[in-house]
Amino acid sequence: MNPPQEPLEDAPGFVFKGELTIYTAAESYARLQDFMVAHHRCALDLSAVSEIDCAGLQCLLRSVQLAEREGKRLMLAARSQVVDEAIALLHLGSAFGIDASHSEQDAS
Amino acid sequence: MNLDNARQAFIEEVAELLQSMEDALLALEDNLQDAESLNEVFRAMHTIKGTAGVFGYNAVVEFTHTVETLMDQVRSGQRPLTNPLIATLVECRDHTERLVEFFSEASLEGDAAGGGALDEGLREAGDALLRRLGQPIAPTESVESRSTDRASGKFLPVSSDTWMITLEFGSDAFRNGMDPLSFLRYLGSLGDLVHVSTLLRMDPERPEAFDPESCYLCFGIAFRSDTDKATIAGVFEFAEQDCEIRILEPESEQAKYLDLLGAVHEDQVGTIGELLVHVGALTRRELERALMTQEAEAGLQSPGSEIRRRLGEILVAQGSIKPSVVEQAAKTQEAVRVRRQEESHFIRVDARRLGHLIDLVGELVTSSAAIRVIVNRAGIDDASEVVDGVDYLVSEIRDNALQLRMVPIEDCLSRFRRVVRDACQELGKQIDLVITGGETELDKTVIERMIDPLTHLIRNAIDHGIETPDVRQAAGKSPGGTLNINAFHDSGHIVIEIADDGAGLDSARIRAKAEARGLVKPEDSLSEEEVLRLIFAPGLSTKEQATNLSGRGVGMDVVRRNIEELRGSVELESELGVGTKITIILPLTLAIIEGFLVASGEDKFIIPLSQVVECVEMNIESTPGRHGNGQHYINLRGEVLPFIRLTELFESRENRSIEQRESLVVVRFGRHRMGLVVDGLLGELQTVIKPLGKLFERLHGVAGATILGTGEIALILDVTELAAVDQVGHPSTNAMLTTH
Repeated sequence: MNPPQEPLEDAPGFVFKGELTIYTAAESYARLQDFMVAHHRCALDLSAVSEIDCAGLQCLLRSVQLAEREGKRLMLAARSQVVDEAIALLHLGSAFGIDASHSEQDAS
Repeated sequence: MNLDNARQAFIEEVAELLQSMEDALLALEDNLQDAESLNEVFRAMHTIKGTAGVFGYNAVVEFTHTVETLMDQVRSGQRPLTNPLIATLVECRDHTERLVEFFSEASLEGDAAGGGALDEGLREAGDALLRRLGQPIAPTESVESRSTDRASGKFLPVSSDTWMITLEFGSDAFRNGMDPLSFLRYLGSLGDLVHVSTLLRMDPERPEAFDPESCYLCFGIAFRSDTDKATIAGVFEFAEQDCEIRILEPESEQAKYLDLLGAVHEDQVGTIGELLVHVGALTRRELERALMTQEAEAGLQSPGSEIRRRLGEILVAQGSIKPSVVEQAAKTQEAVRVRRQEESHFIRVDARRLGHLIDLVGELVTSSAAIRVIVNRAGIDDASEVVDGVDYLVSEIRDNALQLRMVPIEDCLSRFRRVVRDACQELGKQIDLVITGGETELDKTVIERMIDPLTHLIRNAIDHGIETPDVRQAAGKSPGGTLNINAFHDSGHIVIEIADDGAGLDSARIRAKAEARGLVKPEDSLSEEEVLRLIFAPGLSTKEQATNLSGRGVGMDVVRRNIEELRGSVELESELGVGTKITIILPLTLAIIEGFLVASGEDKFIIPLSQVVECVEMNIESTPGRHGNGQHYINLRGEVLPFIRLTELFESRENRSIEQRESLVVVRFGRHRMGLVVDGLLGELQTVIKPLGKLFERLHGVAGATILGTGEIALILDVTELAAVDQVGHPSTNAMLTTH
């Protein structure tokens, strides 16, 4: 696991906006992978994600796993409420390196 | 349903359950590993708890719940089963009985609430028992709060563990518009998602291949909820096609299935699959899937192949159910199959209806005898043939009707296991009760009236007969005594033997005691057997010290009277230091017998045919005089046979012509034989026994009366009593004949 105290500010940002669902999954995943090829670290900004489903979560999960395998770091630096809620529901907080207390407050 | 009826049914059910619990506990005492008996105890407590809850008998619910919890711990191996624990459980069983009695009495007195104030003593006794069980006592205050729970039908404690749900979505799930997130969201609304582990299941062949539009997700969910399996499965109903769903019940839920399976009404037991669906252990879809698998597998195999996976195996492999639940289901299925086979042969009938039927058959027998008399008198040959047929049918009907009342004596004898067990503990003796011939059948009314005398005799044997282990060892016997109860049929009678290998009766002491009480004079010469029979005389108890068990004023004389009231007899054999054997001989039924009609003077008498050995002509020349002590005897083929002349006994005719032909009817009772001298032999006859009524209650030698076909009344002779009556004045009997 990557140490969470590492400052995020200097990591290059990558932004998803709008839907992160099955309809955008292929395209979103491809974009993120392309970005990760060029970068060692990435602070993912999901604060503008208006909708997320399992396909979207799966993309994120896969990306995080691939990054880990390659010794890179992908962080979900900012998340919208819908994203937090979905992560909380699936108890994916630890998988995404998000501390539990944060995700819990959004849990229903 | 009328509540009183329901309550009555409840009380009866509880009695049955407690009986089976007792049997199971006693069986456990012999074999601690007996899982079936263990379940029986659990089931009894559980069922009583459930039904008591329906009536709001909270104290019963509280108590049985605690015992049930304990039994569950024992069943799961958390608590070892020990003999002291069983002893406590036996007391718990008794306490439950007392509680139910208390409430049923309370409800009789109009305390409709039932769950009202529990007797303080009863509560304390229950608490003391629970403390001994090592179970926490439910505080009194909780009764109120828990009863509200109960109102909503939740008897089972809320589960502390969780459902395990695994979901493996197919790769096309997303493309088919499925979003697992929505299912989990919905599931979350039904309960608490304690834990979700979300995994990406990549293709092991090509781990790098990832299509963002394919679904690789699988979930393991720990879910806590009070809902049932069907509801949970319903959440994923729409995902069926694209998702492999496994729902495993939590342990508590599983226990519930096991209970439910144990308690399923047999009408609802069909196939094993249906059974599991019924209790909620399986959803219908899971079943359908398993059935399809089974079919598919069967299709793959060659038609002749017998190897077909059982449904239960498929269900377990499919992950729909835990093996233990399937096992229990299979057990229930099997048990019901067996019970069904048995029960289809039985009908419960009100005993009064049977009694009425037998009365009617009795009347029919009398009427048919009357018809025969009339036909014979009129001399109509054609009619005589018909009457023969009717007679045959009537006797068949009679035999069958009587058979209806016959029950195996086992039901009555098995209760003595408890008597023996309790007495052993109280007196510190080791006694092994051996019951043989329990399948012997006997009229139910006879059995019921034999319970008290038998209990007394058995208690006597335990209390006075069998010695304590050290006394036995000192006498060179094994420390444990044996009490044998044996029952068998013998010429229209049932014989019950109660034999112990205890100290035996001390005839010298009996004699001394009888002399002290003035029952015999010191100069009387008595045979060994006659001395022993003295214990049946009123007011003679050889034991100086009356114990708790016997000697409470109900003596052997009462036992004898009870048996004789049933037209039975009791015999006694005993050898000092070796043991005592008591033999009870009872008629099979109280209603109708095969009789042998004889004439004596003006009167007619019936002798029970089963007791008639032979009839010989009385040789006038050889007619001897009276013996010294007032008894007649005759030399029958070299054997000395005492006999009674009925005309003399009943004083039915003063002036007997010496030329009158007489016959000797040899009868036997037990091991004894005796002759009855009569004037005429009139043949066999179906005899309906009519009781003589209160006025003649004290009449000895007569068992009852019957109405002959001619309308005449004939007395039925009680051979055993007659023998005693003939020895009037003899000290061993106090029988007095009071003729009318």
